[in-house]
Amino acid sequence: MVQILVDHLCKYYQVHQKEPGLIGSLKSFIARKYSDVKAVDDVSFAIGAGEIVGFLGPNGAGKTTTLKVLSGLLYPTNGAARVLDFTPHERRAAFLRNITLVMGQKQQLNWDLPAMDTFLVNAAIYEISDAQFKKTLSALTELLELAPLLKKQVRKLSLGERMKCELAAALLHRPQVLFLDEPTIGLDVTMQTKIRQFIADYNARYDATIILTSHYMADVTALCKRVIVIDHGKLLYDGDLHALAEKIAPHKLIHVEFSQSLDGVQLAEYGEVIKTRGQRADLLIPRDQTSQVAARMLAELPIADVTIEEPPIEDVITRVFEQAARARAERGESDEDEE
Amino acid sequence: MLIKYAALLRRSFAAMLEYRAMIFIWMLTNVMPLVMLAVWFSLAEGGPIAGYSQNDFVAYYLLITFVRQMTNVWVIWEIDYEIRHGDFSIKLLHPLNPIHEYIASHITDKFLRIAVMIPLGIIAWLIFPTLQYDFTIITGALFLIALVASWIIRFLSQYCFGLLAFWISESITLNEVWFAASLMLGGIVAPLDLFPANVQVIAKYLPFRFMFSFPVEIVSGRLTQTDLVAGIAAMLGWLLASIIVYRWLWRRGLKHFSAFGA
Repeated sequence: MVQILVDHLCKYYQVHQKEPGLIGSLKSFIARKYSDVKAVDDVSFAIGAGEIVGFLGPNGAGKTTTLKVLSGLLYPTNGAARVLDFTPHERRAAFLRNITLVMGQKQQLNWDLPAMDTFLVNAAIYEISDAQFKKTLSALTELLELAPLLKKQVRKLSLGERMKCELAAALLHRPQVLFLDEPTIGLDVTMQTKIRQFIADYNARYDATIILTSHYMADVTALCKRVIVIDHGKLLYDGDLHALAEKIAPHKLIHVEFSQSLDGVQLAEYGEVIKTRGQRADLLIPRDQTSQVAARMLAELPIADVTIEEPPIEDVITRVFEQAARARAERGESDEDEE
Repeated sequence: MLIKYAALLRRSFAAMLEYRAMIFIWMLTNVMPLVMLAVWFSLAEGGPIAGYSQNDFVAYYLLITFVRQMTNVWVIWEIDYEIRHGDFSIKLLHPLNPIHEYIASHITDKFLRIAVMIPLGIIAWLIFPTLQYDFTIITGALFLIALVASWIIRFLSQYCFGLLAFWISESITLNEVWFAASLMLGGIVAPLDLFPANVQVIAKYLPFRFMFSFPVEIVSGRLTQTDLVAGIAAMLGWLLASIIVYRWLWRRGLKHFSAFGA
């Protein structure tokens, strides 16, 4: 069942521009210059119940704007969005009770009070019954290890502890659809792993539909089978994460370890040598020739061990954006999308 | 809705108690009516001014100080900050109009203020034992209604200025102009009776009177029955007008916000 439907979605902003300094301020006071920014430009996709989808793109690609449209904070300039069969920007209570938007950079917890005070208010606002509240809170407390945090003033919590409480506050009403915008930003690796594990658990336990944006590829590879890649407001890719690697990266990576020293061996004839280190070497081999080349190496060279890997996903993603930038340059578009 | 308000009130009580000293200091800064009292008190030394004796000035200004404390509003600072920093978006995700959260925190503030005002009122009574107000069951009830109405008018008018932050970044400045006008024409700088007759005629029907001085006038014994009825009608008119303007601005503002972001 489709729970999130985005159909030729466009969102354009007008932003006013100001040159730096006092003169610039005066100029902008007298005659303000505006320019259109196409934050989201003709994007379409559909997401089914229970899916976790990674939403990738560099800063300013339009990820947050899309999530804001989907959670009803912005309405589309063109095209349409449907979430759980609601039109988000109508902001009906039944819709808001079934979604959540967590922004890693924003917080809803009251700074001066323990998180529990905000939880109680949210329970009332979302009309959560006492029994349901207790049940969800104990589940969240267990998954996020909240017990020691609930009674501490929020401002005394560490960044990671606060994020855990933010997540709990955003999920107390047990939403069916989650929009998570950079939920792990600024957290250390251990805490990132915990949050990641929590998102996976929540998804499994409640069959929730999740869109996740993150700059940490580890979040995406751990959680998302499917990714949607956007850049400059345009959709670049929508599909399986591994298929993306195959499509974009024409090479695979072969690590070889030799049983004796490499003197005199011409590795370059097998593929592009990226680095050699003692008796080890890394080579890039065209994707369609990987198995033949590996077989040849095994036959012809004194090999102790060989592994074939996909290139790191960060490299693949970087490559996607480079290709998109090149394509834009060829079409003669500037990087700022100014009009 | 009651359950929601109970939860909101509990939280804002807790939050305010964290800042109990600050609230007390804020209350002390709202003493402009008392400064004006000192001015008029010394001016009336030679005899009553426009029918106000020294004692009348004391009665008028002590009660208007109470009204001002009890109708205190600061919501624009919060809205303006939250709209410009994007925190307002978080509130919009809740299935509850954000205005209720602000109303709840203002109500909490009133409870704390009343707790401080009662002992202060007793002290004032001891210092000025001759203070007299025309409190009957009817004027007392009308006083309370007018007090609530003036809070609503003050709150909604400031809330509306706050909502202008969806469009412009100078909303607080506009509100300051409005506030200055309300001090002048709301009976803080001087009781409206002291104004020239032609100014009085206009000021009687402007909204500012219903933000401060009208509740005091009700129990001052100076209003004729016709004045009282006309005043109540005008008060209800401004009350209704502020609700209508708020609802209109809220719809338009939300539309603008979701079209352009903020």
